[in-house]
Amino acid sequence: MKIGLVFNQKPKKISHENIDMYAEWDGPETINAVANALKNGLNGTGRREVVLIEADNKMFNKLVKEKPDIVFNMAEGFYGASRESQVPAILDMLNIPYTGSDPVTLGICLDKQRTKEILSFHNISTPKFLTVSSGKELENISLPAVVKPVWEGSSKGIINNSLVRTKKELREQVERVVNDYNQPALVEEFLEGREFTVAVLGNEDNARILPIVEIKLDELPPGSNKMYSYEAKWVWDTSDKPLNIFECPARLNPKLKIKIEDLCKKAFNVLRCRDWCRIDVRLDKNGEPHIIELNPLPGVLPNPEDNSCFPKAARSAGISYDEMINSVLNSAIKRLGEN
Amino acid sequence: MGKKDKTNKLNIAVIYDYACTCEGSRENLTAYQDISKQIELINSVLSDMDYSVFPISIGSDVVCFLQTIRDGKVDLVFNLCESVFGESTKEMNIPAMLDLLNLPYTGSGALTLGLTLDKGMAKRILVSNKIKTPECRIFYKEIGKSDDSIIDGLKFPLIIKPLLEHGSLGISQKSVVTSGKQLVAQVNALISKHKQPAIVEEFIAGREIYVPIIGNKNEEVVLAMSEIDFTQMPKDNFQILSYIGKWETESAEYQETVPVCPIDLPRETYNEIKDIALKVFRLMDCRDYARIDIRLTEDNIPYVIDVNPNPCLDEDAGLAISAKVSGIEYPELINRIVHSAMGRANGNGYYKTKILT
Repeated sequence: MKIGLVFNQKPKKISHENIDMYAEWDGPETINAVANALKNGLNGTGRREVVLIEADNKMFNKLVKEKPDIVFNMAEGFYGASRESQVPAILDMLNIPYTGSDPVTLGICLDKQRTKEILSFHNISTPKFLTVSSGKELENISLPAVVKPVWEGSSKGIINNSLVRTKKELREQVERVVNDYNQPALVEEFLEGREFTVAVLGNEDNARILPIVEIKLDELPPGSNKMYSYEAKWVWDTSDKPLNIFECPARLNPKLKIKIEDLCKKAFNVLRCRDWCRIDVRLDKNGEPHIIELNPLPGVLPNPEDNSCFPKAARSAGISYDEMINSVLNSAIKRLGEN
Repeated sequence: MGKKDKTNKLNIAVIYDYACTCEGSRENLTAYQDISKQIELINSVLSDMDYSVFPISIGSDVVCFLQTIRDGKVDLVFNLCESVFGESTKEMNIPAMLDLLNLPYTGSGALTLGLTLDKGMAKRILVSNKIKTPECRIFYKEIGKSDDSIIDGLKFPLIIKPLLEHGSLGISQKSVVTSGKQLVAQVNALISKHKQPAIVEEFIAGREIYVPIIGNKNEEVVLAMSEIDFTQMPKDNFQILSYIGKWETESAEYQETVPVCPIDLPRETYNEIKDIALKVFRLMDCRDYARIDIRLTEDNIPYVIDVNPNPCLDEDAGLAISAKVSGIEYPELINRIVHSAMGRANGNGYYKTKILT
């Protein structure tokens, strides 16, 4: 079997201001780790050839030349609102099967408004929200609220000040998002409860929920807002003073654990996610879980110290990094065989 | 071809799908014939307006197609691809590829095309935003048994459509059913013929009104509305626009379902329809040109039944006729689409895509 690994690689030099901009792209270490996992396969998978294909504008030619049997897609794409859809769209055109979700699902999940509309339709809890394009449309918004860019993944664009408590702060943050990110701002009801991220592996009824990761907001520096922000990721978590912010498996009573798992399975299925996904969940003040967002192209940094949550959840379930990557590939192969 | 010349003419690549010519088996052969006429027309209209125009078709070789676009020093792509290789499910792939090349293009983006092609997804978004659309259920597989639980509270008559098509494909008098038995037969026939899920919707027996909109978000122009005159139809027929009635000019159904523009509506209803259509256009992030389809109940309550970004731009198709009624001649319509797209590309008040490299 010939596997094409399609990726976007971080540029070698990134200034500190741009860390956030390339946050979703992968470093060479991650790309090599995934390539090795695919090459080695699991016991009895036989010899595999892996070709690395960067998702740039020469990708088409490389795909046609290499003719992979399947693509392992970890490319985040370049421009615009539906950027994660670009690579799967091209693979569909070339009739090359690939791991992960289709262009529509990737497009919906990158657009927080669309995601929340689909979830609400299916009565899956998600915080109340509104999208605004300027600082002038801010009547009737109840505070506190969180202000985020509508088309960004993970916690990109979310800073400690994204949690707003006054009209003035709200206006400032909406203007920051609209100006800096060139996109509408999503204003979301702030949930004060615990935060989790949930890794899902497989498809439909066979989707497996890996041990739940808690983002322990109490570990954040005193006085900071209880959110996993840019500062928490890149400023406060230093190698000499690491933030001990993740716990996996999360300490949960069995009832709540099942509730979170069921909610995630439902969200995974109504958004027609395939093979894998990482889902962010937060509890409201009554302890009820809500879906914050879905990441159908989760980050998979191989080094445990990097605190990448999907591999962390897998490790906690006794699944090695290589097994995890191959499990995604095998889900895709099984799914394609069924269709 | 297409080298940026010294006169600083805007280079426009008109792209379209060539593939539907090859297989006669697909119903949408007619749609292809429309396209080839349209290409010629749009080419000549744009050339007359002093743009430097070159048509590019997607043949079987996608790489060659992309190479041609890339080497053509294209300033704008006029996207007339309603399908790729004759498959309408791949319509959204073209904007996705153009986004990857960072080339500006006319019409809606990938997600808008993908979401509106899937009538189920489009309806979920409408419902979440409290916009009325008929109740529906989706069937992914053929139905084995037949009892009332399969329609789960829907009220007959019901209309059955392919989940992933535009342009009345798969619609005939048989599409409207009044019993569980008919429903099962029609759902199964559709799934087996079209190899895709079937969407079953409550049928609204009333006027079917089309609302064409052009422009960019918040600068839209609502063109004259049109509707289908069903009065010539046999009395026991359901008042729908079938595939044959829409495309086969020689058929009786075609003669019996004539589009009318302009139309008469009570002022209040007109305003209500206009507001809903604009809301849908913005909500779905439609760009440059789109058509919102609405059915009116007997009590004049509008229900959105379809959202069509990038509708047919033929000279005698609905959009152009509505434009003409609104005082916009065909060349001006095409030019407005170009300007609307260029306005976005130049970032005049729109969200310009961020360049990461």
